[in-house]
Amino acid sequence: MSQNNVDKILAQDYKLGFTVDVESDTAPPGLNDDVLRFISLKKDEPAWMTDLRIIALHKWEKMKEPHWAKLHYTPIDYQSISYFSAPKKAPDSLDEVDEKILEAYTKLGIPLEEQKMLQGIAIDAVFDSVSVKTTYSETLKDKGIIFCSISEAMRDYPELVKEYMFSVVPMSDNYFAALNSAVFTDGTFVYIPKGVRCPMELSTYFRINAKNTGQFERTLIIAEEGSYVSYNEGCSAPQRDENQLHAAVVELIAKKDAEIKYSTIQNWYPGDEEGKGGIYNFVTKRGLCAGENSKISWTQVETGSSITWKYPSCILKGDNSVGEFYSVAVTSRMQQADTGTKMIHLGKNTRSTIISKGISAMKGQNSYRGLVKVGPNATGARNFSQCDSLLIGSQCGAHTFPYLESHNAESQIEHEATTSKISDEQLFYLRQRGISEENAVSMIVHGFCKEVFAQLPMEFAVEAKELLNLTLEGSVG
Amino acid sequence: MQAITLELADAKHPLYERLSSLGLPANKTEHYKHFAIKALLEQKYTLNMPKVSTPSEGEKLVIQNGVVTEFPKGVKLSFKDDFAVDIEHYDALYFLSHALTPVVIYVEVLKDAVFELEHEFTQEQTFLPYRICIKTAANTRVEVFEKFQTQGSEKSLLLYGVDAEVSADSTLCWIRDENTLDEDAAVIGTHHYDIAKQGALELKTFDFGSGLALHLYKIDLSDYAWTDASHLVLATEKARRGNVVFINHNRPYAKSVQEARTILKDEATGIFDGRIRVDHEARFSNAKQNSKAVLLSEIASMYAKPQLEIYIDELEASHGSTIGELDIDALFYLRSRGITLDEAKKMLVLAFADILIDTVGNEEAVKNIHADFEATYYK
Amino acid sequence: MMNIKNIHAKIGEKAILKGLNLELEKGKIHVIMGPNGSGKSTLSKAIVGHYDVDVTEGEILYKGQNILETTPEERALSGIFLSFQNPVEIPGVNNTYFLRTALNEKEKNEGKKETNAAQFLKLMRQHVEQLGMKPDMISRALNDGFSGGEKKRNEILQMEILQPDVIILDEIDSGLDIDALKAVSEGINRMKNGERTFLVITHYSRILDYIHPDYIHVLQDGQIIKTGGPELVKTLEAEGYQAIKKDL
Repeated sequence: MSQNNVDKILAQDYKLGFTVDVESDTAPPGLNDDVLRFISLKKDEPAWMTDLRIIALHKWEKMKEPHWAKLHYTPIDYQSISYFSAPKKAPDSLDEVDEKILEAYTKLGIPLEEQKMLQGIAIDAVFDSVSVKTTYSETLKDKGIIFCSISEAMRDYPELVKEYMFSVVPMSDNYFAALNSAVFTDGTFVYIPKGVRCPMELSTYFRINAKNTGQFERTLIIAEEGSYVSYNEGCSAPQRDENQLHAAVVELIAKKDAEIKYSTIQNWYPGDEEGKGGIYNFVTKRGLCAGENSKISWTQVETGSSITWKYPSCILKGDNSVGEFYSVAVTSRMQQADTGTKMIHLGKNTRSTIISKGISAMKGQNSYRGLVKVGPNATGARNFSQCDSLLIGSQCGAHTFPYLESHNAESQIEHEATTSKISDEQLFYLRQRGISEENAVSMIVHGFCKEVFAQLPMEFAVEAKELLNLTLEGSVG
Repeated sequence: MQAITLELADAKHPLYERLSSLGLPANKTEHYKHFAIKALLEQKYTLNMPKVSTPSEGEKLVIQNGVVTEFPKGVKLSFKDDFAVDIEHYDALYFLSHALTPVVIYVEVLKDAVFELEHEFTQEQTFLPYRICIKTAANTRVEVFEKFQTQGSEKSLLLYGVDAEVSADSTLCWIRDENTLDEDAAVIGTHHYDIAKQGALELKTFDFGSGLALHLYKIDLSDYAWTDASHLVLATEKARRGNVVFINHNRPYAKSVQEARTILKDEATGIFDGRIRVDHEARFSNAKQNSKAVLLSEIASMYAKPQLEIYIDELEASHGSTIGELDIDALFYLRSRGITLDEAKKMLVLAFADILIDTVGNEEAVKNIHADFEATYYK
Repeated sequence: MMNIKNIHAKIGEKAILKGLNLELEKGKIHVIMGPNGSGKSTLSKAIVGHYDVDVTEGEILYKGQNILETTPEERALSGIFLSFQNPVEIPGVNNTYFLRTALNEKEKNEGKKETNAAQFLKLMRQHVEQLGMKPDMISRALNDGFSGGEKKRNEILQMEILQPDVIILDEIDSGLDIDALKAVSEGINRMKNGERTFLVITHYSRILDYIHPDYIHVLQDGQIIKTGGPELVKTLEAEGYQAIKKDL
């Protein structure tokens, strides 16, 4: 296959790039105590939260931006970013939601009503920085499940928020987590009571909209003893010229016998062919398997952003607890991704599985960076990692940086990795059967990602496949 | 480090510029993270600078406390004060050792040769830096057996290194048998092997002991050049031992195979930090990397970082890494045949180590390495 | 049906086909025999547009056009099918999904209604059973971990489902045991309908006992040096390629 053809297939337009014009109530650019007070005030937050934000800001001011990842980008001017933007109307029913917002969702292919009717998914839609609509809350309430925005949770369940927020990702955990702790504007809160199996997939779509606003989401999910929840997060952003910063924090807590499944599809704007205008995505995601036999499973499909810095992790504290990480990361054009996971084995007989599939095309750079650490008390711990890279074209890069640490003789860590390209032979075989080059590439790429897609809930798997097609092939012209 | 004062600020030489931009390694420096380098550099030493000498011609290349006393027939020995360092090297101590070594021991091997390189290091509380350069002639095969004699070097630090220039079509086979006792010196080796077109490097290192030893390599491969690098480490007591290996595929058809095996007893720490980089130019490269570690004690630790960095799609690359205990089924099988637990463990450990030891062609060397392995294992 | 005229072709710098002429008749079975390295596989690759082969001269006329200018998938959609000598393994790509996609492409191209998933599964099951393949073929990845015999049967399965017009079988009989050879031959015989044309490339005469060829062509040093009826096989078996060469 000629390189030109591949590039043509890959260089299709960003399908979700459009802007909706909504008047925003936006904080002035810059970051100081007053801005935090402004955010707190706008969001009608309790005073204890305002104080915590200010503490976080002061910690952040003493920290340095990390540069150990294999990422190159123009320095971020944190003082030129506006840290809050909310749609002026704060609707509380779907009828009141700004038509333009609904239109934006329709373009994204997620009309609220249709989702509600057809898929039985409860959606906490985040438009810019404030939750505009929560559906299905009533159904969930009957089971004692709390599914609301973080702002609402601070107001209605302050004790839960105080107890668990910052408990898995401390304020000063890292530079971007500290920044988020100071300026986070909204996010999702989920609480599953003891013994309850959440009857539906919980889902949130994030969207970055107003010009020059950073998006700082904060998600907190607590699964009490013996409970189960599957949470899906999907992201998409409109096309922009300036780089936009995104620094989210996600904290998961699974108690004894509880299970949390967290799935992400990330399709933020990746920038143009010169790498201009894409999203900078610096995310801290961490789950604590606090109790015995608990399980946390991360599945991610990362196709967007110009910079991705993301390591969803599991702290396996409870004995027999299980951590999983399934990832597909695609970098095309000038995209750079440095992503992977950390599996920290502390409890006995803890198990972890890592399946990472990296695809690099055009000038994309894709790095897997993962830490597997077995502590001295984690007798019987087992880890298996498989990291495969697929390269399409000669301008891209694929890198694997596993860090394996063991302090326990009765444990086993196993890591395997391969790097390959789509072979001419495979492409030719499919074409000889009448399948076009474009479809043949897509078929092979999907085959490569199969193990990860199998982990996604059905509706998400379909969407993930389509996104992959969009990123890697799509209709040209 | 108290023994050294370097005026780096005024230094215009690229070597000093690199050194000052990298800075002396600290406990958080990536390649030294698990080596406890800070304490080592902060100790009090007497600095013993390398000296020019007039050695006699003999069988081996012998370096006594930094002074060459003997060199083998068939090689041309000189002392070079204008040695061109590899400015791309990643290791600060590579530059430091060059900075402290105004004259490099320069060995040109003119034809096929087999010789021993013996380091004798017998001074206590001494900081001894020196560097050796070995250059092979085109289309030759050179075998070097490197050995250490470190009795009496308590609380000393040997910072040495090899710059090898492997010329086109030639093969350098480098076998290091490093077997240091606990009261002896800490050893840091920081090396650069540059392999020209169709050249080859067979690097086999056997590193056993209870002290501190770290080797850092940069291996550059040109067109059709290949390297087969294997590292066996047996670390006991409070040892921290290991290898940092950076293999750079610079040109098409370069090939590398890397195999590290680490056995850890007692409170020992093992380090394997391997990185294979395949450059944009290096089409049709082939890279394989494998690290296996066995922990024999509850309190031993292993740090493994097998990394691939790839900028091209026309290649084959794979790596694997495991850390674990001895196979319990195999242990049980042996014991059910009446073999004691200790004996069964030893059999399995030896089998694990033999896979690398047996690749050394020379029978006598295999025997010596076996003996050294057992001596350390049973100490 | 297909007219191959004065084909010169190279692989890398090496000239393999040197002015090869061959006319394939509609509905007939043509067999090409020849020693190793004579250019048999290169000929099949040239017909389907394989990237290894560089055709420097000549033309291949099929359905009114010179197909040398067309892409591999265009040739496939126009009804040319190659059973590969060594079918490549494609991990992760499901056998059934792949074959339905190929069939749907063909149907789309011919303006026919596309076979849906349920219909296709039924069709696939029938063929899998008929060929004596294990039922798990339906769920496995394309050729991934298949034995040599399984791969060859899978090629025949694809041929039967895609119903092509010109079928090139490149050493379909190599490395098969007698049961597999029979199953493969039966598959080929089922495809014979007086319209379809076959080009069978083989080293051995064994398969010819099952499929009854119409023409035998001897390929040597990049050219067809002799064409005859089935009786030519006996001469070849008795006297070898050298004898034929001497005849000339």
